[in-house]
Amino acid sequence: MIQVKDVERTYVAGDTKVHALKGVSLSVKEGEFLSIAGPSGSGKTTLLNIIGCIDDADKGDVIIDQVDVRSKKPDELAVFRREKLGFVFQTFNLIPVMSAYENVEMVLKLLKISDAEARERTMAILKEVGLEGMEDRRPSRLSGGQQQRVAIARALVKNPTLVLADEPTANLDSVTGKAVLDIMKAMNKKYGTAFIFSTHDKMVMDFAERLVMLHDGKIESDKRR
Amino acid sequence: MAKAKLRMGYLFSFAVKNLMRYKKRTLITASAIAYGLLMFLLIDGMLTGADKESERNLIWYETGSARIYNKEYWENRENVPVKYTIDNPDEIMKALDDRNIKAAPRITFGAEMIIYEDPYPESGNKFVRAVGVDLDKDSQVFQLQDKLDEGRFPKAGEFEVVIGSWLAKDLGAELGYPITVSTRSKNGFIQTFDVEIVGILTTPNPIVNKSTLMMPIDIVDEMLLMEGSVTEINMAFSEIGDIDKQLAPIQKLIADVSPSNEVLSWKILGADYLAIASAKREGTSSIIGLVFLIALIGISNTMLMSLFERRREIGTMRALGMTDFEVMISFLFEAGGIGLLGGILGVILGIGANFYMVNYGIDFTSLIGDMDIGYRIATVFKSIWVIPSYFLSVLMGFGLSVLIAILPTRKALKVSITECLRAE
Amino acid sequence: MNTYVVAWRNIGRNKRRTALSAVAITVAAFGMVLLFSIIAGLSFEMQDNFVRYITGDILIEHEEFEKYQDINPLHFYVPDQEELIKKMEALEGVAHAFPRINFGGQLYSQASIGEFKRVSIFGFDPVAESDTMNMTSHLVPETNSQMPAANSREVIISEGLAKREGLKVGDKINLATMTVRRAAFQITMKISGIAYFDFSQMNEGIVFIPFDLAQYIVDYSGFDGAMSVNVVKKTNVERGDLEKQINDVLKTESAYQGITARAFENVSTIYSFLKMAEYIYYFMGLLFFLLASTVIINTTMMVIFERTREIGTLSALGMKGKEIVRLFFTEALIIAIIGSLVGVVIGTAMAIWLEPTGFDFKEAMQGVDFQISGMMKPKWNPVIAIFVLAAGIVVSSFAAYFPAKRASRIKPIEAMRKDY
Ligand SMILES: Nc1ncnc2c1ncn2[C@@H]1O[C@H](COP(=O)(O)OP(=O)(O)O)[C@@H](O)[C@H]1O
Ligand SMILES: [Mg+2]
Repeated sequence: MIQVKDVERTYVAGDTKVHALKGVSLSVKEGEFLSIAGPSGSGKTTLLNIIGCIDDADKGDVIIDQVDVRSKKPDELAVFRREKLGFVFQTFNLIPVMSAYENVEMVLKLLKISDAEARERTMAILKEVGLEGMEDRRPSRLSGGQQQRVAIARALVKNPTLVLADEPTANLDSVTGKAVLDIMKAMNKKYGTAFIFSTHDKMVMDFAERLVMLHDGKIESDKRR
Repeated sequence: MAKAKLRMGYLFSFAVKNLMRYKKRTLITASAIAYGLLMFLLIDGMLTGADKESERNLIWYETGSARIYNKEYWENRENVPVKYTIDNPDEIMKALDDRNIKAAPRITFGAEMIIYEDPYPESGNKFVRAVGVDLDKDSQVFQLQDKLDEGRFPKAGEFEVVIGSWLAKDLGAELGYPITVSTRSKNGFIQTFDVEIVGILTTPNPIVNKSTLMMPIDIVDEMLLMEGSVTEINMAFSEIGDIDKQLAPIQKLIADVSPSNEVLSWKILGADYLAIASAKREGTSSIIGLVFLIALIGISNTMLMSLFERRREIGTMRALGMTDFEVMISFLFEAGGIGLLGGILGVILGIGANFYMVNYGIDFTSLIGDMDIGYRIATVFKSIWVIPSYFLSVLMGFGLSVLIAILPTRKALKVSITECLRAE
Repeated sequence: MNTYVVAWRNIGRNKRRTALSAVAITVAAFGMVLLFSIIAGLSFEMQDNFVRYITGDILIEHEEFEKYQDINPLHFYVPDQEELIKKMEALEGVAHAFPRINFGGQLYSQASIGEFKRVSIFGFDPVAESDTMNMTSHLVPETNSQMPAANSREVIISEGLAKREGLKVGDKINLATMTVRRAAFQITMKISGIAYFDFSQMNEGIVFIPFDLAQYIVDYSGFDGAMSVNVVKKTNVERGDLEKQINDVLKTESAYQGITARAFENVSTIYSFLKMAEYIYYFMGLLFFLLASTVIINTTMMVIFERTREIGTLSALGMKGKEIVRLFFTEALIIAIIGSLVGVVIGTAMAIWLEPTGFDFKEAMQGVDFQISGMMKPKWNPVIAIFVLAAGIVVSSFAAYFPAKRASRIKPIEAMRKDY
């Protein structure tokens, strides 16, 4: 489903150049539950951003569903993301003026899904992530774990082929973090949605069914468990 | 754009939510716009009020709707000539009467009026533009009938005058006082004669109050040896309309009946005044422009703030698949919302302020006194309702805000998604 | 680290926003400096023209004259003007003094039968006024103009009149006017020169005639009368002091009963009108600043909003409310100072740049009874700069105070919870 071939990414900040990715190749199949792990600064976020089509690789190819994403225009990529991809961020990134319900519903609205259907699907997914009864709360009245569940619901509600989660548990305590991962895994099993999540936490890595170790911009190991 | 169809309604409600989130900021920016618009509406109402009132007072008391002159007259008007005359006034009057046009002949002449101590407080002399009027006909054209403070209008064949109240005050004149008028006849002889003040006139037009010296036309004809000629024939058109259209048939008529004469509309007769009025408008609009400039800086400031503060949010929206165009639209809605609010607020304030200005006005008497400020109005400035300006205000508030917001939004969208997401 | 340093660094955190709110203040300050300079320039030009051509620093005339000036009150004259001028010039603070006679009349000729050509007559002493009015320098060179010969019936006319009536040097004009006894009087005079003045009032239909001829025309000769005696002060003398001194002299002489001296400021109603206008503009200036300060309020609020979490941290770390207010206030104050300063500097530069040339305002002034030439020449002075600077800083920092105060009321826990 996803092929990443010899991807390189170099950041230029003033005089210094940082080679964040130094030729990474990776292939992900449908329904996989994959973790990209590595120490801070190893290039996890960069890789996820490139797979998520919100960043460009300097070299190499990114092919998702047989489409070379590098040939697409920004607006086409936006449409591609809204239809195919879900995002979960380390810092949750919910829209503060919207309630939990509205945050999730927004994604469906962008897809021009009818109000009735959007409502049904939003309520269902919020229930599944365990937020029944909290639909009308704004993010500021939700705990970190709850916010991240909204984010997961937001990512999943449109039935994407792939959810990208960049350190989804880094801002959560270990108990909450585990609960969030449990939900992610359950969703993966139930809907067959592929998940790619990054982490530098040993405990989190244990959840992965396939563990890709990244070190200094290169893949160190790629194990299935 | 093909598949990225928008949901305008959705983006709109999103914008509204954001405006509600930053209530104070929205309000402050909107009130800056409102203040700018209030100034605009206030000054616009006042100037338009002064303009309209001036125009009316010009027509009612000074120029009539139009005037027939000898073709040589207008160019030499400064010298108050009595040598460029209409020599067949009766014929023209009849032709106008046949067409049901109200008209009145006048003789305007320059004169030195001389007054002597006892009964006046002091002796003195003063130049005036005196007029000889045919009272019956004149009251058809000018609105002078009920404007006498005291006394009556002069009787035909009598050496009697009505004078403007400001002039009377300057001279210390009262009813029954004599005035010596010294002028020259049409053929250049010095003519000096005495007239008695029988009436004192106050109109809403200060120029008239300041300068009127009005006597029977037959006396003037006799004294100036006019031999039946007059310097002008004034006309009044009852319904207000496009003056040039109304004038066309009369111009044709005059060209037939007396080709040595011409017809001038009040717009030409009052051209000096109209030029002043429009120059004043320009000056004032530049001040309003500056006020607006600051209000617009306020909007762009708010939009920048808003964009800056929500970088991460913008990044998230874009990552979730909102196109740049959609993000842009939602921010423009926001700016438009502020502008609209400011516009509506400004209009409400403007209506409030102008309610006072229309009904009561501001009395500038102590400031202006009898200084000539170019307007043909008493020193109370009253506004009028200029309805299109209110719509324009709302439109300007909205439109300019949206326009102003485009630039910063475009700039914000140039920042890459990943950068947005990394923001604090 | 002191508040100032922290505030300064915070300003640097978002340069564009800082720039924007500074710009709002700058625009307002700039506009004010320019506007005030123009007003000051107008005021100066008007004063200068008035003093030079109309009133002198001190105007000595009959106390009733002004009240009746509209009706040509020739009979309120100053007698024995030569005597009086000697007395005046003997005074300490007086540079020189000269007599004037002004009245109206009409020109007539065979060609102007049936027309009424009004002119103003300006009787002056060309020698005594050679320093102030300096008629010689106003003669239009191409016209062969000469000063009137002594004891002749020669006159100078304004360029405006020459154009209007098609008159040339050497032409004769007939003038009809009134004597002090309101008797009609006619005289024929020869044009020896044509003069041009920047001051519009001096360039309309004016006939400048030598003083003794004017005396003869209005019949003042018998008592050596003048309509007024104008006194020009020495530079280091206050007009008010000189006015008082002259009035003291006038009081002691029975011959000058009813004659009073007034300093320029007390003569002209135009002057007080312009003063009034000045106040109105100052007030408008403040309104501008108020408007500009909404931008400051906005910016400060933004800053506080953005740093809510930071404020929470600061207050959790034990910073007192007052200190937090001071921090934000200082920040706004710095922006206000920079904005005002830049505005004042640009405005000053612009005003000084425009000072020699000015810009044309003739059209807008048309028909308005203002004694200025219609060219607006700004005249900058330090008081304007200081006033605008102070107003800018005070108003805009006042505007920043309230949102800054709000910041201190943010509770730490609340602030840390914020998810944006
Ligand atoms: N926008 C950027 N500009 C410059 N360097 C960057 C940027 N983003 C990331 N980097 C650098 O690239 C490397 C990889 O970063 P990142 O992908 O964020 O790693 P991780 O997510 O594994 O911590 C790091 O050395 C980081 O400092
Ligand atoms: Mg990372």
